[in-house]
Amino acid sequence: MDLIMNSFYTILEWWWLIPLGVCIGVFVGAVPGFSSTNTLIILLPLTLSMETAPALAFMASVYSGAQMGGSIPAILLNVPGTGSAAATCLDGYPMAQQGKPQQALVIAFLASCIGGFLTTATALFTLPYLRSVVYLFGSIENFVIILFGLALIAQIAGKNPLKGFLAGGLGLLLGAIGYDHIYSVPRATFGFIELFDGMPRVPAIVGLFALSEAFIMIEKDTIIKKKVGDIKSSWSDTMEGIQMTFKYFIGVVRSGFIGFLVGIIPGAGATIGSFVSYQQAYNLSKEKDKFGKGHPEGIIAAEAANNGLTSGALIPLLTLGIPGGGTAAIMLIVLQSHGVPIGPRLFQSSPDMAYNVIVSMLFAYIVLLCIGLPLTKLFAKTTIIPTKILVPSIISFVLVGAFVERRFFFDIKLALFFGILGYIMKKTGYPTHAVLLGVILGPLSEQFFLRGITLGNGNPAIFFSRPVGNILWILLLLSVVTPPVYKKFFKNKKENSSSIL
Amino acid sequence: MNERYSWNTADLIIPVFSIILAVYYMFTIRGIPRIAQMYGGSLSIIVIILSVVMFALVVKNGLFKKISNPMKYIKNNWNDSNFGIYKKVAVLISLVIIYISLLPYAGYPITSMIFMSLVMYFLGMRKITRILGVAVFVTSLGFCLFILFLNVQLPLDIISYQIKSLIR
Repeated sequence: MDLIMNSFYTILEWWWLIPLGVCIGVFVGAVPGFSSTNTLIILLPLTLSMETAPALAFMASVYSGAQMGGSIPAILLNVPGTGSAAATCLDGYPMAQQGKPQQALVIAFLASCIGGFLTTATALFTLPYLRSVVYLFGSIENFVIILFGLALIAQIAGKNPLKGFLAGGLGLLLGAIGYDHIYSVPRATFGFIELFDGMPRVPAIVGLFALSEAFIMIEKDTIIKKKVGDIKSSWSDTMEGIQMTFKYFIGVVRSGFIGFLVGIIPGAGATIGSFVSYQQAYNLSKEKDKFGKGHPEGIIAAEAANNGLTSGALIPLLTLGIPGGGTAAIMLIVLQSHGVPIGPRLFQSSPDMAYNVIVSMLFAYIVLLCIGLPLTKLFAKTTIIPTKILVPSIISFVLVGAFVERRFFFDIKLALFFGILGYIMKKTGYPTHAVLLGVILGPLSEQFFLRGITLGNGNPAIFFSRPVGNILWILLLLSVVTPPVYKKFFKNKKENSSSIL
Repeated sequence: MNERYSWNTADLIIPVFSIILAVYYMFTIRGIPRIAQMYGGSLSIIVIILSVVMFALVVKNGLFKKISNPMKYIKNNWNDSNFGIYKKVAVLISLVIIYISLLPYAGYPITSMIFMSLVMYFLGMRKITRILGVAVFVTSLGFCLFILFLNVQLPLDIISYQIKSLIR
């Protein structure tokens, strides 16, 4: 308890860094192609020159802000700022198109802050115990968790499941391009050396969502069919968004903790967390038919999870000294440069560092709430900017976003390819989300599958040999089988009762 | 889920692309050890099967018969507004290709300004001052954000390079 109180005092000394970090995070998170990781790399000289505690507080704030910033273009323009915000597009954009952009933003902001705050507070009090959870997850468990995300393909397929499965299969195949994970043989690279490392994610996101959406946008004058004067950005819209969020409060808590648990697994990533959470929200919802059409539960599931994940993703770093993702790896560099012993001794030798990071994230979520909610009124007006201005601006911005990660001009061309592919898919009714799911989760699923099968000397039975893995298999089976069975049973029951009446 | 889906020949664009990719993928993994083939190979087969099913469904719906006279089919089904939209998208994609091709040589600021102005004009904006104002504003914003603040190594023309050297 003393450690926690000391951390509060330490962070209060540097309180002004948190709003600064949060604002930078929200800003860069909203630019497609930029992530908290590459922003922290750019700001590394600055953080290296700071003391350890303020540097970590600043980085944690940027990280939290970026996760939330990604939802802004996802809701307003159907352009996810970060990979994890792709799940937010599923319901956020339809809600904005219904003339409720402000409500959608409020739901996203509130779900992010509540989900993030609750899971961070949990991490604060359970930090010493969570290290044992990290050891429970190996390649086999990771493989099953990725299958949870892939199961979503069946649900977003909509009225034509065949198209959904084909889009998912195509995405997985595109994700399997590049060196294989065992023998390093290049596969289907078309002779492009830039594809040897695998299919880059950012050009795929930028193309499938941003560029294809820009091509579609030219068919209308503004994103939503409202006149400038009709969008008055009133506080009543904010209140409506708050009410919608609290109506599904259990969903916020559940999604936050799903994200948190996925985050604890090293290497899982925010995208898996938000899609797994969306899939679970769909399965457990009583209003399944509303998903994909601007349902608040869908926005809540994606946003609460990807912010719940931020605190979870730092657990392997803070308790075991293992970086669970890109942002954690940069934090590790800062710790190392300040002479803090890294590796499994990190938590024993410097527990104050771990608590400082968690406490700064708690503050970051409070700041995010204070800054974010009033700004939704301003952001909502983006939807009434004429597409004549929006389209060239989006194209020019997102193509730079495609270039940023690897700095190859090839990636800009690849984004255009995905843009054309996404446009054709949208016009012919194939879900682009399914392709993106495949491109993002495909390489990870292959990697964990091959690791597992190698561990089992080629015997697939290895995937059913671990207790945690088996529990996850059962949960996966239940989550896939239960909804259609329940729906059929419920429908029959309803038909029987109506025929009796 | 229960709604009857009306099939269209355009539905076959993605299956055709998928089959080409899957066959090429299988071609590139031949000869590598079986364990490394397992994942991608199975995926390719699944994608081919799904695409073939899609073909079968389109044929079953008799769409090939309907387009035995393609010109008549286009005349009947592509009304003017649809054709206009696809033409617009094709021009926009061409402008993006020109933008991407010129970017490494002319630099980010100049190419972006020209690209934005052309697209705005093409989409129906006619006030030159407004076009130039928006193009200059958005490009300056991109320059400050990407090049000055985030230090993205985009190609620059000589003037922009001097500005960057002065500020950074």
